[in-house]
Amino acid sequence: MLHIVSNSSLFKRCLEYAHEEDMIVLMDSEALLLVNPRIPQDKNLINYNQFVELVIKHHQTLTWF
Amino acid sequence: MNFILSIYSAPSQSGALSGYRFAQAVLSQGHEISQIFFYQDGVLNAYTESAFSQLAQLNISLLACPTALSKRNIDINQLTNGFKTASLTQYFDSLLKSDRYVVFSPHPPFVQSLLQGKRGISPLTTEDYPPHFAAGDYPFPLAAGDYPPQFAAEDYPSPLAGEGGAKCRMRGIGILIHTADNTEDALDFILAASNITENIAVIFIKQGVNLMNQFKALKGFEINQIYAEKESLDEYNIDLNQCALTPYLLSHKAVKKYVTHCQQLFAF
Repeated sequence: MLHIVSNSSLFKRCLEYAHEEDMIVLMDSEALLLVNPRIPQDKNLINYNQFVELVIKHHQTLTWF
Repeated sequence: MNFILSIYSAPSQSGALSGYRFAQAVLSQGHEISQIFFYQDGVLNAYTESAFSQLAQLNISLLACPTALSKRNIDINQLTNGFKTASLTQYFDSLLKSDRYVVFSPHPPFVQSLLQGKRGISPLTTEDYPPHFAAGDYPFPLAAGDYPPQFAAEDYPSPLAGEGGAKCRMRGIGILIHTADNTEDALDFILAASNITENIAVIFIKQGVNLMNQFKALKGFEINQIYAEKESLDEYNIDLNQCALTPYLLSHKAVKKYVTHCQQLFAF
């Protein structure tokens, strides 16, 4: 599952419900960050093309807002 | 691959811009967007000149929810060129046929603050993260009568927390209710989905367990797959005897497992 988090206050909640094999995209208008829930302290900037590829790779998306 | 996008964000909010950028990236990779559905404040994009109008020229249906328009006193005759209306029910009908969908909600700037610790928001520390749950961390045993109806007995070879727990046949729509911010829209959303499929699961988690009485209309729509997270009920001291709904109880771990089997998943 790909979790999309659009508010920093929901990041911790998302982490509670994310499986280790899931991925998380933190999104605002300025940047997209990819987070692996196994190592949530590591955050990597991605672009929108990579975001699309992630959505395709994962069969489910869940936007937390 | 066929995408459906949903925009819940007004033109002035950054979610709309993110949705537009995502749409551009989808198209640049040669995929299709069959429709973009505008809901909540997202319908304001249909009322003003917005970048989305350009996408109508690419045969992408730009559809605004008439109920959301009405709540904002926008007449459907006032829609910008290229926009039409479609009900939530029509949206769900399309959604279940799509390959992928993404919801873009309003979002304040926060990514840079997470990276740099600026704007008054401290970066999260390791201690802020919940522990990863090992099997057995949630040994909350469900009684046989607690098993959701779509689970067969053989799907429970071990307690839900154990390895190889429930195999769920759920392939419908899962809706997580986790905040009090969107209660009315969430109820509209669920009832519209019920027009398309009977396979709807409504799962109350976190603060959402406080709202179950506001969702008592679900009973009248024969939505029977209603769940509440046991740990959240305990956290908020919810007495189910005082509750208008009779949810099946799921442990936190069971909720996590359950939602992976939903075909489409939403959070409100």
